[in-house]
Amino acid sequence: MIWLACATPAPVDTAVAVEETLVPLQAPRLARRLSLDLRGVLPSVDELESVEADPSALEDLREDWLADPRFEDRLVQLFQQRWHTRVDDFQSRSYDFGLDESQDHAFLRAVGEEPLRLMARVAMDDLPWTETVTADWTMVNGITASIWPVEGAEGADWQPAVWSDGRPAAGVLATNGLWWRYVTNSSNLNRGRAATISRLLLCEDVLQRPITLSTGSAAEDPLRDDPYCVGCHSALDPLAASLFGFYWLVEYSPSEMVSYHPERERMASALLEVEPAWYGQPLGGLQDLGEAVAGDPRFVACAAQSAAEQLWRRPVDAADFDRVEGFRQAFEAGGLLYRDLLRAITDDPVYRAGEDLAGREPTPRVLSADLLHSVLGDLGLDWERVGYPLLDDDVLGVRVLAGGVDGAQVFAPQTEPGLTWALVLEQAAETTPVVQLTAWDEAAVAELAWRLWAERPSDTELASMRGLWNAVEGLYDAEVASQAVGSALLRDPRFGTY
Amino acid sequence: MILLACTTPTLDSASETASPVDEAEAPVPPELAEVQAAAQAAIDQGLPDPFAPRDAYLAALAEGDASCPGGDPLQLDDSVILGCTAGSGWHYAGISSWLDQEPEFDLFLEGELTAPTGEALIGAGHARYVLAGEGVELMLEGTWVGEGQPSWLGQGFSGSWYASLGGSDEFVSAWWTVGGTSLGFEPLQWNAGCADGQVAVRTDEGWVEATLACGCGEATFYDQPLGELCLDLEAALADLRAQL
Repeated sequence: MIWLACATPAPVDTAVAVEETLVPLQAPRLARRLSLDLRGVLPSVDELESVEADPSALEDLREDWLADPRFEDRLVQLFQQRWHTRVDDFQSRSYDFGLDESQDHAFLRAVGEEPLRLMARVAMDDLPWTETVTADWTMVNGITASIWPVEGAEGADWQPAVWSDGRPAAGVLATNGLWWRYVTNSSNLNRGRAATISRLLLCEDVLQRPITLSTGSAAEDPLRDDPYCVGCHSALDPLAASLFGFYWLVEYSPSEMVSYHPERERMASALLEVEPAWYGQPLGGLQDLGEAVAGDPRFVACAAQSAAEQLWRRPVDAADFDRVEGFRQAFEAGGLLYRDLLRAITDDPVYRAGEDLAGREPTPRVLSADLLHSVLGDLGLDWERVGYPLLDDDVLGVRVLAGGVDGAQVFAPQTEPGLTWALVLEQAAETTPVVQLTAWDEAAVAELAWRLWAERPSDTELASMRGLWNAVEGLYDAEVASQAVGSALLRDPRFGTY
Repeated sequence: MILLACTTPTLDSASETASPVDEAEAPVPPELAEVQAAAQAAIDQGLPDPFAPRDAYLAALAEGDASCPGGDPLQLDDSVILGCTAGSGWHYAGISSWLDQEPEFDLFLEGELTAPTGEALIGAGHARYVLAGEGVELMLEGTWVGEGQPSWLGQGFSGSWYASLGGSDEFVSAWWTVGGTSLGFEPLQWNAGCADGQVAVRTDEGWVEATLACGCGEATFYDQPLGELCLDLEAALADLRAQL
């Protein structure tokens, strides 16, 4: 009884209560949020003005942004927040493949982005979302195409390619990038990878289940006799058994890591003592796994839940049940096109809220490292050291300090401004060339503020800017004064949040 | 369980909605003749053994010198993980250990040994030969490629191969891929000149399995009977024995 009560929250009351406390964003600020979430850059002045004049223009703009090539890059950023494959270390590095040291960052991203790019391409090409786990192709760029067993790739850009090493069609489940990130060993035997599939594709995190480790248990084989162990392992071990083509007999070995090993599919029954299965449904192996995932209703529900969490910048909870269920239905109604899912979420009042009087929604959102990287890059910031972009890396960079996800130790973007985030923004703001005036130009500064904030600066603010300009120009020159004014605009909370 | 249900809902009411994914199509059974031909061709390239990688490894290291790879002339230490080039033009990159107790040996290699011609021995794994009672044990594990080498090593080996030969209980327990064909002996025993036991051959659609009795047995694919599969292991086994 208690379980049923918890699993089916009272939907109507919750939905009404949430909407009553939400104050919608002004249209230009909403346009800014949409532009950032869908393509990772600020709207142009023309776009802002069209929305300011007619808020309904936002719908057409959203369609344009969903078709923007940068939509694919932005999805990679969003998926990384959950999939955590863009890490700064793998068991093999660029030097293992004879690549120059200056290519190490590019190598790490080429590997780590593979599954994210596959999902993004499915969304971009309006393929059904099930393709993400059934595709007989993957995504490579010039680096991975040169070192992985793939066919059909030319040039340096990201593009689809097919594997030539006999691995089954299973979309992201057959990518090197996913399994390089989520490794296993001779005692774990792919169970951690199975748990990863459950967490990422079903939104069921078995590692969060409460267990009691009994001492002096009479169970000779706890994985089969201890109820706490059986509860997870009865599902995970058969799932793990379908992943043995990615089981490396030698760790830290590039030769082992680049290829799928078909013969090892047969090792599962010997090592795990179970046959491959998906929650009781027998599988022939990885070739059946993608279809099994795609056919599981939890897969689509999880995709809707995950997308809502990414755009809401907070976890979904029981109070969101009906709302997310609505997103799922909209997603399915159109044939599982990811754009439809994003349309449904971004149409919703929770997404469009500028303020929540109940304090539940995290509004406004913080521009964390991924968005700072793309937005400031678009504004001219070239922050890089020996091939490492400082806002997209933690080897030499400040990705985590800027509120980002490194995928290894930090798993969610920062939701509130912090000290290091503010320091990074300050440093970046001083370096980003957003304005270069030879003399004070109030109209130009006002337009720049409008572009950066999606809000018109007040006369008082412009007067303050002029005061700053005069003070700095008096000490230095117009170039430094331009830098000071640009920096002040970028450090304003209206820029740092959205 | 109660806490889990309350704190981490997973929106699984979706289970009542029909999935848009069509029922997965049943895999198409492969042609048994093709399966048998592919398996026999893989076997006819020679059964894997630890000797070919050992010979290629020792031949490659014989081209090294005191500065590269330096140290123990029969092992790569961690100073050459990123690679060095000897005066002979051979390039060594990786790490290895070599234990020689004639006739037994134990080789572990993770690296690439590249000839001036560009052909490399790529090894990631373990090759081992030991005496065991009246017989011997052979093991090869990991990924091994001997570019330009004849037979299976030139095709590249991936897998886990273990054989016990010469004693009263001769068998091979192995899963391996050579030249694009993947096989499993799970295990295969030799009794009075006959190969008995479980074999498996991979196809694009899945694994074909058979329980051999003196080299032949009924093959199945997802429990569907395909007919009789026969494999001739005599010549390959004789070649292997000749190396002992």
